[in-house]
Amino acid sequence: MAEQADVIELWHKRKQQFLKEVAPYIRYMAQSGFPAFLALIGIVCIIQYVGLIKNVPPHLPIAWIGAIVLTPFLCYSPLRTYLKEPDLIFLMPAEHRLSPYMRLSSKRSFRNSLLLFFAVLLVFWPLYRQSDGYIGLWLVVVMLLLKPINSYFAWQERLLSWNNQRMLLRLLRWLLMFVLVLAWLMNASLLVEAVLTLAVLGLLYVVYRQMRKFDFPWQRLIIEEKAMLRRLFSFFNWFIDVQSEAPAVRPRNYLAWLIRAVPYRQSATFIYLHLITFVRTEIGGICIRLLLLGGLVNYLLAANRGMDGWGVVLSYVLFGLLLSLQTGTLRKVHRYAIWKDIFPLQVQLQQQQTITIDRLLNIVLLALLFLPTFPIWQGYGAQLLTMLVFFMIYPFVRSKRLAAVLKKEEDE
Amino acid sequence: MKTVLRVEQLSGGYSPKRAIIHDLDFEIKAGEMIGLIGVNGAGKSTTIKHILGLMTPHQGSIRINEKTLNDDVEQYRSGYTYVPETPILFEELTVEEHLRLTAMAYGVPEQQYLQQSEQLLERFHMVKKRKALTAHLSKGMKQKVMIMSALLAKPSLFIIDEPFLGLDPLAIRSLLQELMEVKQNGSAILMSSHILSTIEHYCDRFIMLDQGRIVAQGALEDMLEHANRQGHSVAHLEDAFYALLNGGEA
Repeated sequence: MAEQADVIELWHKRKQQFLKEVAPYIRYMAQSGFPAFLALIGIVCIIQYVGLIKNVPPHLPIAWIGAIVLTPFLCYSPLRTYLKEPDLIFLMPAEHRLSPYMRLSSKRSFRNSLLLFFAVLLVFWPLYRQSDGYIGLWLVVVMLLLKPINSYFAWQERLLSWNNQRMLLRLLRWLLMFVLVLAWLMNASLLVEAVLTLAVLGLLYVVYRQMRKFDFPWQRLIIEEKAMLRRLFSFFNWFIDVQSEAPAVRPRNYLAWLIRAVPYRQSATFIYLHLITFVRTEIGGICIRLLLLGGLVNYLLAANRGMDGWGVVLSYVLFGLLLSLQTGTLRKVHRYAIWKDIFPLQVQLQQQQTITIDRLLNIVLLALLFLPTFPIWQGYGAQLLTMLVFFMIYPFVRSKRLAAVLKKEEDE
Repeated sequence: MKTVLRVEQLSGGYSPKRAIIHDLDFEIKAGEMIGLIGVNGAGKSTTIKHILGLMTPHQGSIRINEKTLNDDVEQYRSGYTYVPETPILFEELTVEEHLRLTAMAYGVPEQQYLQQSEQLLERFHMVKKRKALTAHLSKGMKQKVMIMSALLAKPSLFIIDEPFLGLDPLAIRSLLQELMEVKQNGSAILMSSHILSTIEHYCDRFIMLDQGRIVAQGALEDMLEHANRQGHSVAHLEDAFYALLNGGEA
């Protein structure tokens, strides 16, 4: 009993430590006006959404929208364990006593992810009620069943010893869950959906059982914990300089052509460095996700001509600003690199190159974000013009501001 | 022979009120390899940081190819490359991207970079690792990337801090071969090392620091003679080193 109390106390102590660590940054974030900005976006989205619910277009693919929106929240099963690298030495010998610790982590993490999922489902519900496949509370029952099963499978994935296997199985699970959610939302026949659900779950169970697993995935849990902290501190970095560890690196070979496109010139040295940093770190990852989300939202708003086409303008500007917030953190990654003071390139030249890559990235990202707005390219001149003006002016305005920031930092 | 590095009356340290190194005077000529030796805290790293331009001297001057940092930052910096004791890499770059970045920064012509990087990758047995992210390399391999990058830049002065740490015997041999070639091609090398038994065979001269001051400098014979004059009987650099330290015994 005393041993159990020890590990439970350790869990609570670590949670408190974490809260204490992030509290000042949350304060800075709150002072920055970001919550007000989010609230404003929320209000605009609600107005849009209420408008959509009142006037649902006849052929709106509600089931597909629901599957796209609900599946990530259904499948995503994070696990906060507060484990750290030194635990591999100091806590590992006590692995057999860690059950209460891990139970606490699982319970809290599951509770949070369940609440988030049902919040999203609740938002979706008014739209869902108007779909042909509406089955009322049956959907809630099914989701209540699927959510813990996903958490269980996510844990099984963590136990897998091979990274590629884990990625592949996770992809398979997400795809199959997408199919299941879509089937339940379309509701051709309850019997078919029930059989399909049992078949999918059975298949996943059999596949997961075949795989070689660890008894306890120490490394995996520590990696996930570090990744979560890194994302959190990267977010705080938007508002205040946060000294955190080096960003996680991913090869992202599918973007290697971008890196190869940088010419071999001394005057492109820092463009080359920053572009690789963008492609391989979380900054690029967040931008890709924001681009996909922004593209989808822009397309839906443009297709639906929300707020007489001004909805998409607002969304375009908003996602453009969010993307530029991300590219803005790029200059901070190598701020303290010794090579900046050793390479034979004057500070001014380094700064110019930093500004150039920031501008180029913003132009490309804004152009990609612009493409899905095509449904309003005809007949909505003022809206189109507003977006084009933003696209053409903002990267250059931003460059001027960035130049001033870099100058100020150098003077300091 | 042309003087590549000239350090005159150099005093400096982290705090403007307290100097760590005092009145250092030495120079390195083209084609020379100089060993900077001393115990931990003797001032080797501080001296190197001053030469790199990372610290501002309290007094005295440092010239690389007759230019001070204030004369022309780019020309001063293009005169040297640096291999730190602990590899400091951009971890999101692959091995060959790191080489390319360094070559770009130093304005090495592209054809020269392509040809030399291939040779270096082969010589340091890193061909198979060329596409590997430096974040995923062992410490020894990271050190090899640092060394290859420095060699690619081909400046007139190489500043190398504890180059053998973390290297396997094959890599140490490759490094020494490369350094001998660099020397023959007319570049100068300033190398700080604790592996005295190795560097005594390769360095032309030694500068021994103790408590921030030069206590002896010269060729191996000069160092041995200096120690022997103080009543010791030494035949190797390591023995001379102990003898010349305050209170040390050979």
